[in-house]
Amino acid sequence: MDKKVLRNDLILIGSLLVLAVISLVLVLTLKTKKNLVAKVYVQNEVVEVIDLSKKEEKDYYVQGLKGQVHIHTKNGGIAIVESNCPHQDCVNMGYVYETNRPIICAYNAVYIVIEGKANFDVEI
Amino acid sequence: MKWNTHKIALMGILTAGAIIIAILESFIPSIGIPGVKLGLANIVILIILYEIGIVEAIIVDLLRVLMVGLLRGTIVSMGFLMSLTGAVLSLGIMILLYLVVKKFSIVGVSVVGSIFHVTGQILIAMAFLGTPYIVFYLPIIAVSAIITGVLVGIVAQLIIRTGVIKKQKEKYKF
Repeated sequence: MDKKVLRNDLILIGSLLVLAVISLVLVLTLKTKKNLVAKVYVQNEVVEVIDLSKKEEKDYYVQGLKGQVHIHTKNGGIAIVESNCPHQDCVNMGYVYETNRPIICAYNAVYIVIEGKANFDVEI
Repeated sequence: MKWNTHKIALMGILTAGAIIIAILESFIPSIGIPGVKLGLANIVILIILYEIGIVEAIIVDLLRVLMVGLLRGTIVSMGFLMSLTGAVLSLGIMILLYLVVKKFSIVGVSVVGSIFHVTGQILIAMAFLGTPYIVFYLPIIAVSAIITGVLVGIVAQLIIRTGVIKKQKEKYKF
């Protein structure tokens, strides 16, 4: 292979990799650790706000686009435990305890996002 | 662009290969966002792009997306649109790099194609689900896309180097 082309390749792949790794590190480290709140969205609307710092063990049932989604909280973490989606990616994700890791059930347009309480808007 | 019987047969085999690879890889679960795939079928698309022609590559890629959608039954779902957008964006940039910006080897082109592929998939997922939060998974998916892109490019290059397609072209004159 031509040396100049190889060098171009390495610069390209190298810079892309550096960008990706830096953003990966940012996503993994920049997170709030305390006073976490889980927001459950169905099609971009908040249907449930759960205070995870209370560490309650509780079941929630949310009506998604194609069926009911069963959500469970435990020890400050949250998970989708049952869903009628074909791939079960959301169920396989298991319990999430941190921000920056949304649980997404695309089939039902249900997703759960964990945020710090400072972002919590009181809605009447 | 000549399409004789031999070329049609070869295109058929290559298309089938791309479809099979795509279906097999769809059983590998994706991280976080359902529907984001590795893109291994790009090996075949790259070989066609470099050894046979641009139009042929476009035809096989679009056929691959359509057939996989039909075979897996995802044809009207978000997953199909993700696949289509990813394929169009990635093929578009790869053709651009191959034709106009002739500065990268097949491996570099493959990596850029891979990144555009997952970006297209994520954009559609974000549009359909209406949430920006999906972008949190972009970094890890981008790293995996870069690694896959390099491997796909290397495999495509190795296959091209064996001269298999070239011999077919010379023997059957297309």
